[in-house]
Amino acid sequence: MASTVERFGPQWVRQDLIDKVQGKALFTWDVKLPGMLHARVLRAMVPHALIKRIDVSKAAKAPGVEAVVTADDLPDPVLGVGVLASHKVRYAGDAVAAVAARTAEQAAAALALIEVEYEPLPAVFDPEEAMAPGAPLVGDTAAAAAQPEGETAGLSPNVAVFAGIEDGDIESAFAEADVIVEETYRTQMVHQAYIEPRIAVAQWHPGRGYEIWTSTQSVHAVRADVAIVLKEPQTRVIVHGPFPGGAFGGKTGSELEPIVCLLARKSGRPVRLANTREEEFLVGNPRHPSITYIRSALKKDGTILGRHVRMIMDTGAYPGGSAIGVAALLSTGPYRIGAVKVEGYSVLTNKSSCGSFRGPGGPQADFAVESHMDSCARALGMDPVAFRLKNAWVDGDRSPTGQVMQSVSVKECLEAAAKAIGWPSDPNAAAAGSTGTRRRGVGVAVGWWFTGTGASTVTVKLNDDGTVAVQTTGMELGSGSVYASLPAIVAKELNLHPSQVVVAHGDTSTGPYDVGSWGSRITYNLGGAARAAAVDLAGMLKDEAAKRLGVSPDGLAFGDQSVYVQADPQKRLGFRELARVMYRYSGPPVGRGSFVYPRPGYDRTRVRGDASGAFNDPAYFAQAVEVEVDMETGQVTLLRAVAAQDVGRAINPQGIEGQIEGGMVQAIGQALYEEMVWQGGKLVNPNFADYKLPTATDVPAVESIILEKPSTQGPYGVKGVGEPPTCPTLAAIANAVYQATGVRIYETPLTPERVFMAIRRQNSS
Amino acid sequence: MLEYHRPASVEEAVGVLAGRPGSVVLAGGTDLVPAYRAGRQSVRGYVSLRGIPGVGELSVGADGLVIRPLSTHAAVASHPEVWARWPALAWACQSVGSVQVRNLGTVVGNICHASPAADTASALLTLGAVVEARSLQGTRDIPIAEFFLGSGRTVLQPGEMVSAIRVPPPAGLGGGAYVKISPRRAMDIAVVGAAVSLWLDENGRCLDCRVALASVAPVPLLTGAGAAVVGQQLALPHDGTWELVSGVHDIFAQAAQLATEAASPISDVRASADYRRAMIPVAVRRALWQALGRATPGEWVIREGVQA
Ligand SMILES: Cc1cc2nc3c(=O)[nH]c(=O)nc-3n(C[C@H](O)[C@H](O)[C@H](O)COP(=O)(O)OP(=O)(O)OC[C@H]3O[C@@H](n4cnc5c(N)ncnc54)[C@H](O)[C@@H]3O)c2cc1C
Repeated sequence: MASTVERFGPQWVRQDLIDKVQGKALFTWDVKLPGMLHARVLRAMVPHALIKRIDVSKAAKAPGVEAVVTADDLPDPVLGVGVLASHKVRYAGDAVAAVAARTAEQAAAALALIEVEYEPLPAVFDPEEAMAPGAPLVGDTAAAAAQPEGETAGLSPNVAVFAGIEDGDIESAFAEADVIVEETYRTQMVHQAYIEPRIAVAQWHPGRGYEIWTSTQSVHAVRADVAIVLKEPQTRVIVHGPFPGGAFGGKTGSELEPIVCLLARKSGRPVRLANTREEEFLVGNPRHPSITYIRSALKKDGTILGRHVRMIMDTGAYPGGSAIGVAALLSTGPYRIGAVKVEGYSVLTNKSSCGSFRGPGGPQADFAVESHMDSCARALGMDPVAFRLKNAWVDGDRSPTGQVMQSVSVKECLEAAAKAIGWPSDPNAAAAGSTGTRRRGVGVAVGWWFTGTGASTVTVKLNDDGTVAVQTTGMELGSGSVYASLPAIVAKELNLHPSQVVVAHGDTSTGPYDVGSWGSRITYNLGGAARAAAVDLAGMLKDEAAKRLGVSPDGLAFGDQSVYVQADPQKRLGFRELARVMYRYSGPPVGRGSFVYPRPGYDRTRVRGDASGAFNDPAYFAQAVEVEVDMETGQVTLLRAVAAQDVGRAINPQGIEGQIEGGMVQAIGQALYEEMVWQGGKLVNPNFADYKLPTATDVPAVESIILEKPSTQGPYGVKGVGEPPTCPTLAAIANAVYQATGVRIYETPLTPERVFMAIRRQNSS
Repeated sequence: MLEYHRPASVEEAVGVLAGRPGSVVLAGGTDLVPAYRAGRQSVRGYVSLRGIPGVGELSVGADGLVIRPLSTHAAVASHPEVWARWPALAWACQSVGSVQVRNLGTVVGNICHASPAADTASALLTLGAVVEARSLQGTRDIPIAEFFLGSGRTVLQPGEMVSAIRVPPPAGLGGGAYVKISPRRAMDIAVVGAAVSLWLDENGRCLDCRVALASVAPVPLLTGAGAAVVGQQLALPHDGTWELVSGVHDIFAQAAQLATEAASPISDVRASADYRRAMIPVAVRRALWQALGRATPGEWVIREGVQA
């Protein structure tokens, strides 16, 4: 369901769709080069150990083997930390060696011939144990062992990141409170579970350097990483990005690429390296598990005097992409709060390295604060929606870091979602439809999320045939942000049909720079760059046409692939003619654009460590769900799911609905089903039989409500879309379960067993 | 080198099994292929049954149901006679995996794989099925209650294969159910499964009742819980309608209790033993009520005060 918004442009079948539907689009999986070898990686089976000895001599002589590499093949093992372990493994999954052979089977057989002698070290798996002084050290350098100072003084060096926020006098807030609500929430480790595992193909050209095809969210990030690890100039690393078969934040940096490059160079042949699904679970930088201690000081009238959050994220074996900085700012919610104190820690443990997963830090923080908001409302005897509406930001309110919020739409989103779900006038009454052992309830949660960071450049050129090409290295992850939004934007500026704008996707050696497809940034940043480039081209075309038609450029307009005089539309010059003359006589009809904009200000004195200071052009959103809980089994069935999201301006409504539906379903997976289960440093369910994604029978149709409150700086007012839908779902479901059962669930996923046990505990107490 | 055989008859198939020790029967492959891919299995070769004429046929007649080696879950669950006469089996087949898995996976493969969670095994246990095993030495009948030895182990001998499963005809007004408790609605292994088959005489008295469980013991488990129900008056016929008699609620609760006592669940990645134990009576009670409803089609009268 889409609300009626004025269409930005026509709906059309975007260029990559038919190929994808027919199975003809090229993925890295399809890349085959002449003489290509197949590689496999040897991974540690122990969670924490020193490597005493690696002997690859037998493997090197095994049938079909053309190259074996270890950390010794890296130009500098320190730069290769996390790529190939040199003297220590930090989790069961760390890469130790790799083999390239004629067939994948030969490579796998050769792995078994590599001898590695380990000296086991004490390991630590629980982040709170890992924080304590004296815990086994996960890091392995002198720097990693240095005693922390400042905010983390007295804690273990395993604390990799601290992120704090302080605003106002938190002590007095709690001293003055009528009611204090104090709770602890926990979330689990979940995987992005894209279809295509990591895969990279590399070839070494002595003249040009490394050429790589890889399944990635950013060809430039891979180029930068590989150049650092292999000590090559960036221009001697050429990265192609065929369509990635899904990513969701899992493919933001390099992982297999440096290894496959080493093998390609050593063997002198192209090499293909793909992870198995089991490996993918181990190295896919999943979502950080979290523990959040949250307490609020409340006045009887519903005023929030203060909120104190202490949040611990388990980052696994390597610091990786930290989510704690963003989570710190999110953890108190988009509400007016007298005083705020946030202490966030990202802590190393001997498990898979966690990183970015669609909305990193969002679901964790939102689950805690939005479950807690319900508990606060109920402690005050207030309606949870009314309590939120009373405290939600409006334009001009300040965030805990002092950012002045603009284009705020929390209330609009919450009201839309609550209305759609039929929010009851008495949220304490048993919900309609409850019968016997099945109880129904509804729940809501809101959230906010930043839009856009990092650089984008686009060039737009007029083709000989009067069509326009958008040149970019932006990766199309499937949302349509590259293949639908960019043509729509360029078409808008030149008054073309989007089908007359083709996307020309380039590699790092030919395409304009883009930092990567993540952070809900593509339509905002790359779209902003595309618009600037189209405006640049439009100016050139008008100037040229003005000269040739003998008129002023001001009176010119675009239409029917031509430039015409508005006052006299017969007077016109077609794009084909313009292309012909400009390429020959007056200079190329090529527009260039970057998207540059000032960053929002904030009060630096309130921010400690790595906490986010401000959110650029944030998006606001709310979700509401209706659940039915089987009181005898603990089974939670989702009956309805509503998502109201402020997108600023809907360039591609169909794509936005896809993002909302997909994002919410992914979060439903985290809320109810999924968990990477570790036992004694071993991941025990690295497969889709025991790692349970929701099936089509488990999720209801998601009802999307698109709201448009323009952002301050995005092209046409767009805000980020892709990550927000994952954030509020966990709390919305837990809140609905509470309304249905009267039982608060403090930990995700809300599996039947967990819900059942909580109901049983409540009944017996 | 892995061998692949495609015999043209059951005789030929048992000949290969006898002559090439270490070979296994390949039916739908939905257990075997994932195990092979994951490197969890070392076999000498596969004996595919695809080349044997009639090997997937399902026959339904006065003397019961005959399931053959390549009869799929989908074939069983799409047969109207199976729904009418052996509902526990139909529901069990319908609960397996997904459409794709049911289209490939077979009932015979399901019991031969001998997972404690096998959905059809518990249904077949309640139906008193007989497993027909074939080898070069001939054919022998094995009551299904004697078929399972442990997780992944059956009484089949090397060189032996299952050539049919025979399910006897219903012994009265039959009803049956399979209730599967699992987090997902599809593509999930039972945390607890409960199969019930029961038969009533025309007066609503229970002639026979059997209760079997999945995922609560090393083998699919036929419990003695039906004893609490056999001989009891469960419903009263009144020209075309049925009236629920009081006390059924307690009878079913007692059966559920007996079933729970028979089980020895363990904790694994899917659920704790504690949760499994708590779910057994729930699944059994629900299965009994569903089975009773199916044994007594048509309208029901429930008088005030009688607990359903
Ligand atoms: C995605 C997925 C979901 C699943 N979901 C379920 C589920 O919900 N419930 C469930 O119970 N199972 C489930 N399974 C397991 C599997 O599908 C069933 O056990 C299925 O019935 C196996 O039948 P098959 O024909 O595929 O067996 P195969 O894999 O071909 O064989 C299974 C075993 O039986 C042996 N065998 C087969 N036929 C004979 C014969 N005639 N004589 C002697 N031995 C024989 C084989 O040698 C092998 O050891 C699932 C599997 C997958 C892959």
